[in-house]
Amino acid sequence: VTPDHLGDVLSGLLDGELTPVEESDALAHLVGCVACRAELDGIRAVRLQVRSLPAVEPPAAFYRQVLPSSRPWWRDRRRSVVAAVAASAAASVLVLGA
Amino acid sequence: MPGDGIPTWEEVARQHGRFLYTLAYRLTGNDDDAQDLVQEVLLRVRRGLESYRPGSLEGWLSRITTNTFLDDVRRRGRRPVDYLPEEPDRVLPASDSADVASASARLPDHVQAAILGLPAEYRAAVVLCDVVGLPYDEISTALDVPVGTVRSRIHRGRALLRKALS
Repeated sequence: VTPDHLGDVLSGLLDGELTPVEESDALAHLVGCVACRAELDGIRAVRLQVRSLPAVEPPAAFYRQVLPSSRPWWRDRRRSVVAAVAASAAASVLVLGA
Repeated sequence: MPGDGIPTWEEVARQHGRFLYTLAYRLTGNDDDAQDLVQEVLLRVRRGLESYRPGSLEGWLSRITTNTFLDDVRRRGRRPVDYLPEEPDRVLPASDSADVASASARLPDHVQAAILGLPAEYRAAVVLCDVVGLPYDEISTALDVPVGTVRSRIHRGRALLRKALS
């Protein structure tokens, strides 16, 4: 990026991360610089596209397989043997029943 | 969430599962890796809950998630910033004129594919800024780099996305 252009100041501007002085300097530059205005438009568009991505709903397996490991440690330890036996019994039932 | 106290492990997992999954999915781009990443994050969270300071819980979770992700990328032997796709367009799904899926349905996948084409450290910065919505100072803390580096990575990431999506 040449010093003549705003470069990553443009992202700072879009994100509201500039100081008031930096912001007014950037806006003054934009008035006279076609290239920076074009870059600002392009960056603004992709920023919006990423920000518009929806939250991703995890598959059901996520809640079955990943979150159960979230039990408090004391419950895990106390029940780990029982849980392991129960899980393998359940797995056998599933395999046999399939 | 209980006021200003330290959340329990169970509360973090139950109430923030979708947040963590979304973040992990945006970083990795597929379900298997996203689930693996969340699982690793939850282990780190469980070990580190005592170091949580009441404040931005999502910022704290985001930091753990992106660091776990970047550790994993480094462990696989890639140098995150140096790894630049030679042709960013190749990461995009091939366009198929016979595809009848609506543009609105395809668009998010298109954007996700472009995010995956970013070097990992730019990707992490863009995701923390534009998916999670963290301010630069929190991203700086999360990635342990100066705020100026955060701005530079976000901007370079967006510039690459712009090229890939144009």
